Amino acid sequence: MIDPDAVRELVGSLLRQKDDTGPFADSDSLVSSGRLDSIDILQIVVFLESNYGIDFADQQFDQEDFDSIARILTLIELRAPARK
Amino acid sequence: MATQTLSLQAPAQRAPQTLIPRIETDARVVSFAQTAAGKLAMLACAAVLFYFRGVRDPVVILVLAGIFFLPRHTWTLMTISGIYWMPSMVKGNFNLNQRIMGTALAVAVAVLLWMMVQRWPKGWVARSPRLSLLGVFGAAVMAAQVAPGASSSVLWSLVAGLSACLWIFSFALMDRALPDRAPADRACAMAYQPEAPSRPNTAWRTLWPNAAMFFSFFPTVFASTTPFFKRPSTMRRMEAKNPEERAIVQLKGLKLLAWSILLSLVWAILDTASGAIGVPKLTDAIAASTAHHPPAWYLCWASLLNGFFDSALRLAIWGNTVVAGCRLAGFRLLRNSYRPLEARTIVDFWNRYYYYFKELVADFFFYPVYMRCFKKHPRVRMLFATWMAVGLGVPLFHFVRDIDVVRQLGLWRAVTGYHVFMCYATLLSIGIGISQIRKVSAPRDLQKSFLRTHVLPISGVILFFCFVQVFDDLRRTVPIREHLLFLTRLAGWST
Repeated sequence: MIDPDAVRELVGSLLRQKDDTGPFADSDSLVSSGRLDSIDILQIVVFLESNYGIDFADQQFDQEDFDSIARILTLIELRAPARK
Repeated sequence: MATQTLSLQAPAQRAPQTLIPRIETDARVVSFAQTAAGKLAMLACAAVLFYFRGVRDPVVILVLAGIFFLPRHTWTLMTISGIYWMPSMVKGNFNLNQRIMGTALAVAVAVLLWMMVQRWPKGWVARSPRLSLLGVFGAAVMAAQVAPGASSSVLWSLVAGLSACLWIFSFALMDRALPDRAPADRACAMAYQPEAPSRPNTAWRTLWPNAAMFFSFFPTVFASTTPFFKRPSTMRRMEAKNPEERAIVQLKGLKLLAWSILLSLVWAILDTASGAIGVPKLTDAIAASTAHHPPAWYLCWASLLNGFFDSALRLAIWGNTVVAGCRLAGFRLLRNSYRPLEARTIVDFWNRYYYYFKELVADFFFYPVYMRCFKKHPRVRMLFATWMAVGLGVPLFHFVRDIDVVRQLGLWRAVTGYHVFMCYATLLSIGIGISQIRKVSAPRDLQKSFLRTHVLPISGVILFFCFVQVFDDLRRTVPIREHLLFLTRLAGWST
């Protein structure tokens, strides 16, 4: 079961850690705008591995999959094992 | 959910600038920049600013003029100019014909690998495009070492051509090897952005648009082999989507170019001042300490700090110039160096200091290892992936870039002489690895005092990078004991 609020909360906490308290919509670009960096992506990866069982080892890793909340949710939909 | 116009900068970057006015936020300026007169004015400003920055190739302005007035042909113009600038990136003692031949051979190798990826999408080359390209490069180096006379010369020109283009080729091959993103893009658009216009992002799947990535070679003598556009698919996403957005991006490019000129002035003042008060360059201080005529310990420290600020400024000046050129072409690139002296952790400094190089080693070395190794041991996983990226990836990048040293010194001496830089990379990887673990496991405490949240962490970061830069020496002819001896001088020993 995908929990979009949990993803939003995670991304929000990562932004707050960087003193970024600005608003963000699901479609906002966060990586290519510089709001999230590669360390933040790793924390999202660990979250997705532990909560949705996604294994990123089986194909090429693409940072763009984490560019927005919408993209992360799509990634979960397409790659979470329970939904395959 | 409504799709908003993407911001070029992070919120921290939106702070008002006082030195250079925020012209891109003024609606009148933005609309003027979209007129023919506005474009001519921007081009004239760019030409003057580039001239003062030492970028004096008229082709740069000609190509930008084409992009300004014929934006539909941006990719074509960038591809043509990128191919034109490629031979200038072939370093070493080669004449123009050899440079062109080296570039042509390197492109032929890349096209061959591209076709293999296309023909056999599940083959080894498609699964490991980076290793394939590095394998070809290594084989070419070995063959050039043993080949006789004229064939050796041809092979060395191929090696030099590959060395200049290897990372951009690798990104292009990686992008080609990625599964078609269209289904994921469509799913995302349908679920979360139903009102977004359908815009297939597949141009990079054909061969020639990839050559537009070589546009970042435009400063030629100042250019780097680091891919600034990261990947062709990313480049497509960063392109301004309409005339207004393009005008804003181009105005930001002009501002960044002006900023790099201001930084050049700061650098010149610092350089002159440090020379006037007798602070030696770091390499001179190390050489003097080896020759048993070491500078006083405080001058050693001064040369260390001077070296640190010198590198940070020069990198910012150079990186800003390249990013400014790319923004003038209409691409929303982030700054290469963004306030590195505000970094409060080692990993943050690494992220801010040379962004596109950090992205390169992360994409090529960090992520592949992190996603596959030690998944049940988070700290080991982080440290190992960081060591692969920084401890191994950084030296590999510089070894490939400076491959002409192998021709001059021979493979054995070039490899063994590399131990000082390997030491630098290892120390750096340990620092960054520990910093990453601390960042993930111990989030920042905002309740602490300014001294503890800012002054001490920033000083610690600067001290760490000052310390490791003692070993940041790519000359391969200076043994490590000279660098260690310099460290003892810093401590006041052996004076």
